[in-house]
Amino acid sequence: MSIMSYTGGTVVAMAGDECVCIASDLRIGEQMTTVATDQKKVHKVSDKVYVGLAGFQSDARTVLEKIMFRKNLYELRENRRIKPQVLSEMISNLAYQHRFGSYFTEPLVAGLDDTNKPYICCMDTIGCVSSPRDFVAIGTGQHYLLGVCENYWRENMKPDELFEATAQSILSCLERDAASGWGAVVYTITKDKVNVATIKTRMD
Amino acid sequence: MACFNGITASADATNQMHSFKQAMREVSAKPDWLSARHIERQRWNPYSMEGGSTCAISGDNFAIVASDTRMTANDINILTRDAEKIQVLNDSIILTTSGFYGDVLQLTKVLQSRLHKYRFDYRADMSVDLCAELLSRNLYYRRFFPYYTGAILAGIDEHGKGAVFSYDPIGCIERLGYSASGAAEPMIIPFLDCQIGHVTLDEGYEKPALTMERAISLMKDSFRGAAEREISTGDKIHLVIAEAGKPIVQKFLPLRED
Amino acid sequence: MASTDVKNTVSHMEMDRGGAFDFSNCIRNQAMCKMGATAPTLTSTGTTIVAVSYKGGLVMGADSRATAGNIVADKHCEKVHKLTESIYACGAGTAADLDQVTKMLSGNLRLLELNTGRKARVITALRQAKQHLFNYRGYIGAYLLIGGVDPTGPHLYMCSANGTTMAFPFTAQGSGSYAAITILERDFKVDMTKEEAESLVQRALEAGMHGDNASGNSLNVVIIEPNETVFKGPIVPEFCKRPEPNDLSYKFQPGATKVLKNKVYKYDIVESMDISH
Repeated sequence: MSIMSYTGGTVVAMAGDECVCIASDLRIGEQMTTVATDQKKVHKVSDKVYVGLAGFQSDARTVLEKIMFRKNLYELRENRRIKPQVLSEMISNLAYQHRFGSYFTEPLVAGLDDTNKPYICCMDTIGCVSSPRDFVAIGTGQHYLLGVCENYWRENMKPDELFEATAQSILSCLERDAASGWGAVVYTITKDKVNVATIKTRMD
Repeated sequence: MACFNGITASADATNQMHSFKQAMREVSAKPDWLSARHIERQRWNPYSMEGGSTCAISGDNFAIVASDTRMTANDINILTRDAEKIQVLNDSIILTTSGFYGDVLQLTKVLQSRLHKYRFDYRADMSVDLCAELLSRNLYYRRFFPYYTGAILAGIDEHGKGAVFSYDPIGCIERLGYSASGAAEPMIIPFLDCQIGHVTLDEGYEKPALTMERAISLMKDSFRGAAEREISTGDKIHLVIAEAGKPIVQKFLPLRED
Repeated sequence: MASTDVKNTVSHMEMDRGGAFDFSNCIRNQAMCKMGATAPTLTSTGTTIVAVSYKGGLVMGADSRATAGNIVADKHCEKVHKLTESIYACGAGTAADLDQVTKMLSGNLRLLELNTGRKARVITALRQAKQHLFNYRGYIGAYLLIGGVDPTGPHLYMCSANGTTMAFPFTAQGSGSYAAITILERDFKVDMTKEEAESLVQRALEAGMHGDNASGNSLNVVIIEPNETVFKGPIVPEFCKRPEPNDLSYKFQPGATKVLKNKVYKYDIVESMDISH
């Protein structure tokens, strides 16, 4: 069994018109056993920048702390808010520093930069950044999500539409991914607010 | 590992921790990079996977089967761009298989000859329900050296309804509304869950009925989506449409070729 | 004193490692593998990269697909890396390694150019790459084509992950190289024109993208000449386009998803704080 599916968990992000959506499931398990049902894999880094960490959640915790440490240091030193592009480069370097003996977690960054342009990216465990303009998915449900998102994503979605597309994508994924589930949260990041929605999913 | 009470779980966890510490000691004493790199011997493998995906949807009076036509070696090299993965066995039975192409051919041959014998014995075509059971037994017959295939059998049953039967390699049979198998199965199935099963939509939300036109469109779109993201799916969609009381229609539609 | 202590600890903890690798998880990861866990799949640029030299210049090109197992991880990944104005590198292998190695090379070469006040040579880039890769005995999975034009003329080198290097008039690398090299072997001529070379590279890339599952999506080409470098891309060949659009549109109206709980966080927008530009 791959270490990446030991605890389970899925994160997806989609980009729209001056908005991004990032969603994760809530399950954390120990292989087939569900341990907790309130584990968000999406974390706030700054107002308009969120990071998702899928994979082995013990490592995800460590990596999150390292990310926050570096981000805080950056903001103190530079005296400005971190941009999602900068954050992803930072995480990529952090991950690549552990090229040999990596943290078993795939990071995902979603956010708006200071011109409110959406930015999403995902990485593998050693920090290979891929930042398409449509959607990214990581975790145990990656295969399921990529197939669904391919049909549900469209150009220039407004926040409402983007939320529905993201929510329906992750719901479709949870239908088939045994290692994720037990509820989902969807963060819709727009230029003046963040909307956090807990959505109804199958609970198994 | 399944644990039924807390005691087992904690004892198990202790054991695991213990063996992890043991492993840490062993690895620290002799890390991989200090020993000469071990040579991985390639054992002969009786199976290979030729990639590609297939999918079937059933409705009130129709069944639609589709597959891509790419055949791949080692997930990388394209062997052919027009492989036949769908076999029309008779006027109401369609077999579609993905997996090891040698077994796909053999399985088809076995089924064809059994169907031929049935016609010879009973002077009638076999029905899809019967054939489904036959296929299941043929697969289970090879329990310990299985046909390495994900088979889907579709067709119009005795009552004129669409039928889709899905199998695992050793003959576990299930009658479903829709099914997919092959490399892009994880990409197609959740999409159909959402669009045909409507399991993700809220109760009050409008859910379009599954007409034949809609099913065909969904089928095409799911392959188009899969071809974008799955490397061994592409080239062409082979679409086979069976409608009750009508002859089977076959179509080929283009997919991306890279 | 306490504050300097803290400062030292902090910089020791994280920052001063700079570019060096951190091996602290190695033993743990090996122990986990021993316990039966398998390592994650890494993104690799299952690639077609092609380079051809012609009279007075060099054309290099790559497709833009990155794969993780049998799925496409990135459709538009940049595999033609700029090292200096007139030296480029195309990469095949582990995607993260390629990004970082080429980033390091371009940084070092820029520093070299600033220190010496003259343009870097291709052989310098190659030597730096091979020494770095040889140091890591092939564990850094970067297979590079390094090429460019310097005062000594156009050069094209291949550098494999274990540090082996070779010079070529034309070559292809990556999983699609078998298809690409057939085109090159058939059509390559000495002292071609720029147009011929460009078209040859493009045709070789298309062959690789067509015949190889792990290559595709779009191609990028760079044409390097003594006085100017032209980057073209992304070019999408005809067979890489979706032949037909989707039949249905999957637009969800508001209300498709059942929302159990909704929370809205408004930002404190402080206009005067905007010093980000």
